[in-house]
Amino acid sequence: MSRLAAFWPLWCRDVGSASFLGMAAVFLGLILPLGLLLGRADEVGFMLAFANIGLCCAIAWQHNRLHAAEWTLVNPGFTELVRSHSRALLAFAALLSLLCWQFFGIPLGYGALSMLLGGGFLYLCYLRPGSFYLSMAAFFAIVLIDPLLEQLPWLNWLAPVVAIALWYWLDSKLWRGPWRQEAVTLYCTGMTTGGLHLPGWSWLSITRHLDAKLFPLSYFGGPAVNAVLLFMPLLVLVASLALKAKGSEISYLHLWVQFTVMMSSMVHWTRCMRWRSLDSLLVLPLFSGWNDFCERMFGAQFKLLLLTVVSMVFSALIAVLVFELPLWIWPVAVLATAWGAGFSLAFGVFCKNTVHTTALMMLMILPLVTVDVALRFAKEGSANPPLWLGINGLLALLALASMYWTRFKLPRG
Amino acid sequence: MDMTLEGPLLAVRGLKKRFGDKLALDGIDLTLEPGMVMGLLGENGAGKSTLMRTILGLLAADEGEVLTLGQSSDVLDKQHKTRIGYVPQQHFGYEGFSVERALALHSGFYPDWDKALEQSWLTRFGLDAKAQVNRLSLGQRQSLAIIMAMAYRPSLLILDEPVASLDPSARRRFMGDLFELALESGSAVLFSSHITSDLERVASHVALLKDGKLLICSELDGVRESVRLLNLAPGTKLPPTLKILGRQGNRVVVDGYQNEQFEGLLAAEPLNLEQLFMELHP
Repeated sequence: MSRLAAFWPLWCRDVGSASFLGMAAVFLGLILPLGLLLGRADEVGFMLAFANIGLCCAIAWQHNRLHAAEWTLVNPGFTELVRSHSRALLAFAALLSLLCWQFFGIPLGYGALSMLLGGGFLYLCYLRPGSFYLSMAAFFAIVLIDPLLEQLPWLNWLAPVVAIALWYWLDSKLWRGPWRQEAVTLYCTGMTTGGLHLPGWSWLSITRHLDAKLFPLSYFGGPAVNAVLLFMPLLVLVASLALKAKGSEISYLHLWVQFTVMMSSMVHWTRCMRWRSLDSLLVLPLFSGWNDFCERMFGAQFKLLLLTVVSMVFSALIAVLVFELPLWIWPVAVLATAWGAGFSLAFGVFCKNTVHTTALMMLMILPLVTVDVALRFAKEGSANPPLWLGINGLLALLALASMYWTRFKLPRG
Repeated sequence: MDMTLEGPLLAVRGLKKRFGDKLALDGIDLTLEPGMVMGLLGENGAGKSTLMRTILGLLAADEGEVLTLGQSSDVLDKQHKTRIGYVPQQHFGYEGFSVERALALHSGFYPDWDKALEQSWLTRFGLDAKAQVNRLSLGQRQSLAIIMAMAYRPSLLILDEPVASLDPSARRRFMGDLFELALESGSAVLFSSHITSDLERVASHVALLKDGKLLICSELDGVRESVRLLNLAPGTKLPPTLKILGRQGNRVVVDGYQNEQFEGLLAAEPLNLEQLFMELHP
């Protein structure tokens, strides 16, 4: 039997690992336009780290599944097969780090530190399956890599050595564990949530209020998306002031646009993950049939788009003021966010699985490229602002029309 | 694969398993010889699944010894695993596969996989080979799990409530197959079920687990002959040869009854497994 036999159905058609592999694919997909088209090599490292953590989370999910399904541990070869698959993913991650180092000059420490972070996360999951809920924390910890490498440059050669040693040790330790009841609980929860733990944010009354306004969309996504959109301008303010204080002249507005559009795509991601719980929603005395449900979903999507745009109005204004960008960049960023999020929501209704949602997330590359190119033109002073506004305005209207046209296209059952 | 084994296929001695303060298995002794079909009875939480998991090395024993196919269950190697079949209560892991692709992958792990047997059971259970596993009903998934555990004619077959989701006709056919497998291949079978009529039809032996202890572990015919529900006059003393399995006032379930008469005995009724279960779990 080939060591990579059945990789696709085991990893890419399993809701949990597919979520994280999909995330890794999205960030890998961003490396090429960022590195080759836009020449933003400094951001490639960030994307590489995200992709690596996604791969590690997928391995952690499969490790958990092995220890949840009893028969897999009694089977004479299944564990070894999953182990081979994991090794192949690790080799792929190592190869990626080398390629990024070679072609974009990304320090090896970047890939190695993210693999160390992913390995640490996996070890925590091995000690206690419930630690898997910290996967989002592993992603957020990526922001520490840059300052760490800046302060401790010798990590560039030490981290790869330690990462190899850690993964070698993990490989010998991880795959011999016993069956665990905790793993079953995590697996069953993950099958409805896609392995992503969505925080409740119930302590914040305004997100509860928004949650109610965005029902039934919020039923699938929870209030986390709303909360992120709500706090986005604050995050942009803090980050922009910190960057400015460091002497940076890069506003990262294109990345804020990308992140905001990604949040819109996330609602369809979580909808796909939690689609199994649709029946329990439909039996509640809330909707007059399927079409009524679709109408309400459309209404909620429209409100989410509004929230996204309002969030970007403030975020873009902050970036424009702090970095003293030309004022016409402000509406362009807002309009690009509007059409990026609008198209994501419109085409998101067709998504049935994580492969579809991963493809959908590739859409966010377009507004990112648009804003980045606009920023370059603005810097050179060669832009034609009315043309930029006209095209983006037209695209925003098209996105709105697309949302309307696709409102009854939600997959049923 | 030729792996000759002297002695029983399964030997459990003084097995104890704790979860925190709770003693889930309390001094279990159990032996399975070739050709034995042992039905395991017990209410929910009695320790049936824990016993099976410990036998398979999925859980470590706290005390005692478990020899599965002659090897300590903690260190079961690949060769031994190829001779063990297991159907857990929850069977998942092949959700992204079609039935035929899952079977193709699974069969690759077992050198003695019988393709003809696989096909005949697929037909028997009415499973569509092209169907996606994640779209199968609970009963169909259980059928698939059974095929995956039995198509290589394992020497030791452990089934945790295998028929709970099967329809009556599939259940009846499966039970017949189970019995045939044990007779023809000399396999030993340990299976748990709440359907006592099934158990009575195919089991050669029965084990009754209550609160982590084995109350009964013997041949089914022996249980039928020696277990009785005694109706006693108040204050009656039982002969020391009788083992009390359960008591409710003047109604006492005993093992070891040989038609003896003694003072105070008003009636001695034989019990089928369902009645026995109900008397012991009032």
